[in-house]
Amino acid sequence: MSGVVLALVAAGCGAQRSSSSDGGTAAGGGGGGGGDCGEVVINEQSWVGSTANVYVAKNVLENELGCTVSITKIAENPVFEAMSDGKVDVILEDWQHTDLYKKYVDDLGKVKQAGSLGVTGHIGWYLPQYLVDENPDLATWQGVAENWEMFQTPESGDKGQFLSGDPSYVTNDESLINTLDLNFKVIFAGGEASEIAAIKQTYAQEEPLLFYWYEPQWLNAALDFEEVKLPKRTKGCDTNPDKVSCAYPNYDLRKLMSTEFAESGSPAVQFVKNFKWSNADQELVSQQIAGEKVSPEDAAAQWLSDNKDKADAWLEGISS
Amino acid sequence: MSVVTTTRPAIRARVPRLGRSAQVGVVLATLLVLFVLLEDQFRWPAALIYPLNRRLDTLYEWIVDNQDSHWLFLYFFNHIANFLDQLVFYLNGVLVWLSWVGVTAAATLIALRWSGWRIALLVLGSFLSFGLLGVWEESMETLALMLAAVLVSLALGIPAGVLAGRSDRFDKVITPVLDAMQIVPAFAYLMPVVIFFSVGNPAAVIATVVYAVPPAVRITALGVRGVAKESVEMAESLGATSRQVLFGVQLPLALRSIMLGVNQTIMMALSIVIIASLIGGGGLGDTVISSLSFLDVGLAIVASSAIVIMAIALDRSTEAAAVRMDAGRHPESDRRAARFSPRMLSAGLVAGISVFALAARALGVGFFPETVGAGDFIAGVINDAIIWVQDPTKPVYPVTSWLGDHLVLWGLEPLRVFLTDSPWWAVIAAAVAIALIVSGVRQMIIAGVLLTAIGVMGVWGAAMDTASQVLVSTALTLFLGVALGIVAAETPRFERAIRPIQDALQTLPQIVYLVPIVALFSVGRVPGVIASVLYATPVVVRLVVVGIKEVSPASVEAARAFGASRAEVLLKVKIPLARPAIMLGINQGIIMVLAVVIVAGLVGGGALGYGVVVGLQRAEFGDGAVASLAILALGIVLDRVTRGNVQRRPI
Repeated sequence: MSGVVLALVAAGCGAQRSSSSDGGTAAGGGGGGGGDCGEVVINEQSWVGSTANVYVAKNVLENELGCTVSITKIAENPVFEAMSDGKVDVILEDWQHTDLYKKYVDDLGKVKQAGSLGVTGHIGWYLPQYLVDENPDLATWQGVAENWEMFQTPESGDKGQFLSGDPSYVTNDESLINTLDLNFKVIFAGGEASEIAAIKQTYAQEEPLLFYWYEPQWLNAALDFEEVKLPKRTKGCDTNPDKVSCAYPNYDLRKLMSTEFAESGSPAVQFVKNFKWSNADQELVSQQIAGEKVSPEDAAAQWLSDNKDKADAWLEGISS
Repeated sequence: MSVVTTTRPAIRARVPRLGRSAQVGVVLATLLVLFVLLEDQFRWPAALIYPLNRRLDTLYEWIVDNQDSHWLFLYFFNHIANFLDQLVFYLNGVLVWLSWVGVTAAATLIALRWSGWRIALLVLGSFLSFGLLGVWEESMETLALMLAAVLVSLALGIPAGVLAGRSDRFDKVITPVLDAMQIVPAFAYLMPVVIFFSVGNPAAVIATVVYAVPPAVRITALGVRGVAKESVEMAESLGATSRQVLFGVQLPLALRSIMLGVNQTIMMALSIVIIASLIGGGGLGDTVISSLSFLDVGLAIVASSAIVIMAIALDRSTEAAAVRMDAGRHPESDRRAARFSPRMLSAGLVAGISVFALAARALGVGFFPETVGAGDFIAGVINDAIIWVQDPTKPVYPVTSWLGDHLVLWGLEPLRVFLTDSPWWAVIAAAVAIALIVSGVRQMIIAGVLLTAIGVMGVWGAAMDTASQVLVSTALTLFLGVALGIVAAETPRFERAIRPIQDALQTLPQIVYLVPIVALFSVGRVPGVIASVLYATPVVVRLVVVGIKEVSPASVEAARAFGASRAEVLLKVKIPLARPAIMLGINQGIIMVLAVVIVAGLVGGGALGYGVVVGLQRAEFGDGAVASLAILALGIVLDRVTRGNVQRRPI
């Protein structure tokens, strides 16, 4: 089986864009033991923060450790299957998919935890600042509940509209709305890009909008958002997914790697364990990419040249 | 994308029975009365639900746990995956070895050899444009993936098609399977494909093959059947064996149809490139998805236009090659064919490609020079245009947001309430009655069974919600499609002008234009409706054009002789006689709309499409699978109810 996997890894990644133009021919080098870095496959997810992680890590891995980094763009759930087959080595930002950890990390043992990314994920309900300026009551869920009529749209009918994002992201909103007995209907925008399009359109017209949002996110620097206070977290308040009665927890975003990669002896393994930065760091790079349309490579290189000390810390304990 | 332009649909023109529309009207009126009397009193009863989703979850768990130990994986799926991976790997290697000069030369010379110099110029321009747009490498990855998928599709599809063409029984068995392959949204089988074949190129090839095989089978079968009985009988009377008849008579005579099957297979494969990239397909799909996540719609459109250009180039060249292969045809303009033997031409082809490739390699030319990049400029222009269009102070947004809101208020929402809140048994009864009136007893039984199955799977409400969106989208599609089709049939210049737009709409991945549509029409069901209308209208237009053009000139002449004006000829002769083709258009329109309903699930349409998306993205396989089965069932029901006396769909 492992021979098959190796061949697949080699062939599967041969087509990725790499710095040299040799396409498939260099693919045989991966998987070797010893201090040789070889090839590292990192998965980039569909939000910009993930792109920032991946390109900063890629820059250091390639320039400091001499690795060849390939990037895949597999959806959040299938990527665990990819790691378990050894086709993807690393994911740098996972929003605590605990059910998948149980299956792939604990039961099957094919994926390993690689520690915290250092970034704290926060999910919540948000409003445009101008709404709260006009009516400070809206800063709490009770205020939002009372004023549901202002959020009505043709699509939400006789309820207020709650705008959600990508159906694949972690959400409790429907359950929360039921438990708190709010007169709101969840409408999905479909993805981060279309949710941002909807938010920007609302801002341009200064209209009311209540939406699912999160940080770190580069748009937070560009527009003024106000978070709605949801009921405080108490023990067990969100254990039953159908009866969630409190705010979202803060997520310590996790790094994970395939067991095969973790045991390969590549210096990249230690680097992945060391790799850690803050919400502010990540937002800075994301803002460059999505807000200023700088290429991910350039945005990463720029941040690295401004933050040498942080990057050096990631190389600790690696003999080169 | 000429789905039906050249294959003549087998339509039996039949004068509709009097009062059929009236009967349907009575059924709908009865349902309306029941809705008013019993609104919201008969939801699908919980006692009649079988938890299929949980059963499927159990199966899925088993597969995940056993995929490394069970023989089925070790000795079967893994070998297939391996083979496909190697195939893509080598195809990619060939493209890289040829360098951009060699690839462009090869494509152009191949087009010159089989499709004529006009098409060759088009192909040359297309391949150069990949480089100019700055997506050469990605285009080649996509091309390699697509070539592999097309090769596999044809290797499976042509033999199956031949078999279906020669055996009625096999045809009957395989037709519903092909229907299922085309209706079930690709999203739905991505996760199973990943489990069986892991991520990466093999999975992407398999997902593409599932979608691209049906036209190969159908058109080949149609071609084999279309071979005149006399030719077969003559061969048989001369003592030819069944095998000799097949290879000596049926296949050569059906070659043109088979070539069209190749054409359609390529188109289908290209249209799911983006989705394949969700499971590691790479190439242009990756570029589109990541530029969307950076909100760079311009770049996403540039990358997708490479897909569209590739589609148009391959479509035109395979179509032209098919026309030339037509046995009885020897266009006078093609003098070279007379001067050189085919063998000499092929040798010249190989020599030409080799010269270009070797010269390029000797000069060290690899990928397209990156300095030439019109892509960024075009992307910038598109982005500016989008910002202008979305600006609420400019004239576009007020119109679109009004339209969108009223589409919900007057169309989508009332219809959804009508379908979900009517007693479920009344809805089934009405659908069954309409199927009987329009399509006969057999179709009635199928419709009844499948609708019941939807309820039993526990997704009645979601299915009715989806049905309401499909019906509204179909109504808009037909309105636009029939109107544009009539204009196009009457004015050839207009038809030529809209053809590239039609190709673009059918190959452009929907997610690319969803972001601007969301900004213009707000989130909810409307963006999904618009996406499906954009996708389905071209097919209806084509069917209407074919239908009207095929109206026999004699009838038109006769009408003219009686002094009918052009408008009268159109309204009283051409359209009524084209009715069967237009009915086929309705039917095809519904199927195409359903294929995109998944997109509606992505952008707030909710309902079944949402279930499928969640099934893939969160680990809820059972729910996703059930939602997909329900979409399939709904698709077949709508197909059967509207099929009427159109005997058989051409594709």
